[in-house]
Amino acid sequence: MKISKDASRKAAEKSFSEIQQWMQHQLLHPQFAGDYEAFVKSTSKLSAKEHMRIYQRSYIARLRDCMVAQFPALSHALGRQLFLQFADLYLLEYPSKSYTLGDLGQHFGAFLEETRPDKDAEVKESWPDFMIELANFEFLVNISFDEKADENYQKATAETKEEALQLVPVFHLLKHNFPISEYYKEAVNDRNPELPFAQESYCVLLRRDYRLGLFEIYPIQYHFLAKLKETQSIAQAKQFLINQFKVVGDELENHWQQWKTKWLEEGFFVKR
Amino acid sequence: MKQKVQELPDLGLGLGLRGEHFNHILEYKPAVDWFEIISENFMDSGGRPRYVLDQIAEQYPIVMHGVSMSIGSTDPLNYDYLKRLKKLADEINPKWISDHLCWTGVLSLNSHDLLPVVLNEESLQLITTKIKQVQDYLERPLILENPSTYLTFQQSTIPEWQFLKSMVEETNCGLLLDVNNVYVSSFNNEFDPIEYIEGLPHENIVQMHLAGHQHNGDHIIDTHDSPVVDPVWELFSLAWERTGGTSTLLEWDGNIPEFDICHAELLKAKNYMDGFKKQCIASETMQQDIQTVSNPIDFMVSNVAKDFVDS
Ligand SMILES: [Fe+2]
Repeated sequence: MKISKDASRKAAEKSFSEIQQWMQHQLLHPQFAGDYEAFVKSTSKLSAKEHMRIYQRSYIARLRDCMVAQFPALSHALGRQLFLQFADLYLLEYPSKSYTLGDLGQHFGAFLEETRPDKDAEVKESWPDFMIELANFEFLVNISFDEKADENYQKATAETKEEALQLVPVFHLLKHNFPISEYYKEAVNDRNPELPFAQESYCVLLRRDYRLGLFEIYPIQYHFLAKLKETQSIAQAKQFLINQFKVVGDELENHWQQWKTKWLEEGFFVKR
Repeated sequence: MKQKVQELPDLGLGLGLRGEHFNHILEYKPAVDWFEIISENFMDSGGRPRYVLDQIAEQYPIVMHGVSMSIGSTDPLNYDYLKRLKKLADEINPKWISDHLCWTGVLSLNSHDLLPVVLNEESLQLITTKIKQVQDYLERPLILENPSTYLTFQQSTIPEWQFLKSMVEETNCGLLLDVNNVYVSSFNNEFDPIEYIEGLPHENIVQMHLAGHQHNGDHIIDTHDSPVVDPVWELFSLAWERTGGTSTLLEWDGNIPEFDICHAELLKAKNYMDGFKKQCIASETMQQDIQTVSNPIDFMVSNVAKDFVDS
């Protein structure tokens, strides 16, 4: 009798903030047994622990779902089991502080870098590099989908004067040490790609009419587009290739006409 | 406050706006009375979600329903969050703004779940203070929803309906009565759902929610992934009678079917508006025990990978 009175007094003494800190701890660290009875009532159907367990299960399941949704290709690359192990560790290390789940994976690339198994080894393995590149790429895809940009533009056409061509506002130019964009497309379209070997690759991730597009490009095109992005001048981008890569002017003009046709179709340009 | 809860309009029968239905709505302009958005999905959107919302908001009344205000947290209010919320409200002009009687985290963390608050004098005091702060800041009444709960704290001394009633008396906030949540919580925490609905301050109920759930035998999970079950319809008819009818909305967030199926499910509500007949709520058959998550994330993040143009 005395014991139960003490127990109920002890329970009643818990403050509002103590209760919340206890519960949050239970969600984040379900592996540590808690004093469930002191906080949670049991019912005829479930014990206090089983009631708490519903929240614990939902917490991690919801965030795992979100991680898979934000990193579908990485989840494929690592395999679901291993991906979830990484995700669980990540969520312990970087629990969400944002009001939106959109930010959930923002530190995942950094986390994989910090925890790579060969972190202190002199000779590094290459697969962690791939996973980190892929993670950073996938998060950028999420950002690009919903980032703020001026979308009130006029489409450029074959008739648009060259001086009036401008890159579409959401336009990310990317260089990778692995064929990231190819792998990503294969994975998200359920084509089951194999892990790739290291190979430099270049791509454009853009948003046009609120839809994302992903296009592989050649190194020389990467340099051209990088200069164009910097100067917003096609003439200067051309001159840069002539100076820097000793491209002959006539040849470049030929290439450029082909590039332009293709890129206009793919939505690289708007009208200034 | 410029507006009183009692002055808010009856919008009729509405649906939760989901990305899966964007194209259908834009193309067919279906005859739905109004839409409810998840505020957080649009607060920082500069992409397609916001672009679509702007078009829909021109044609339909919109209500903003949030999941991250964390009014029941012992952390102070997040004014950065409230600022973004208010900015969105200024831009899309919702009929009202709602969130849940819950907390999402403490010590600046967010569990992204709608966690249950301990229901006692201490929490009532803190929560009513915070509601007043929010109402002052947003310059409009705050509408709060009863969440689905899966546990009762030892330290809770006030029934939830009584807690909501005291909150309303203290702040004149509005209530969003989620009838399915009443059913789910009453099953999980063993209270009487009829007594709950009877006890609420009906004149402050601005809106109702309907949804489906997953019955796992010894507990029910609020999954929003299936049709509304009969016992919930019965509770709805009781709430409809007591409130004299109010804006009603169907939530469907997991395994989202085609728009027309959601709409047809919503319109079933019309069959339950002619009075509450049963004295006890029919029991429900149990489904198999599938591991399910409450508030599935489809409701909070866009499926970006499926949104690429062919490239
Ligand atoms: Fe609800």
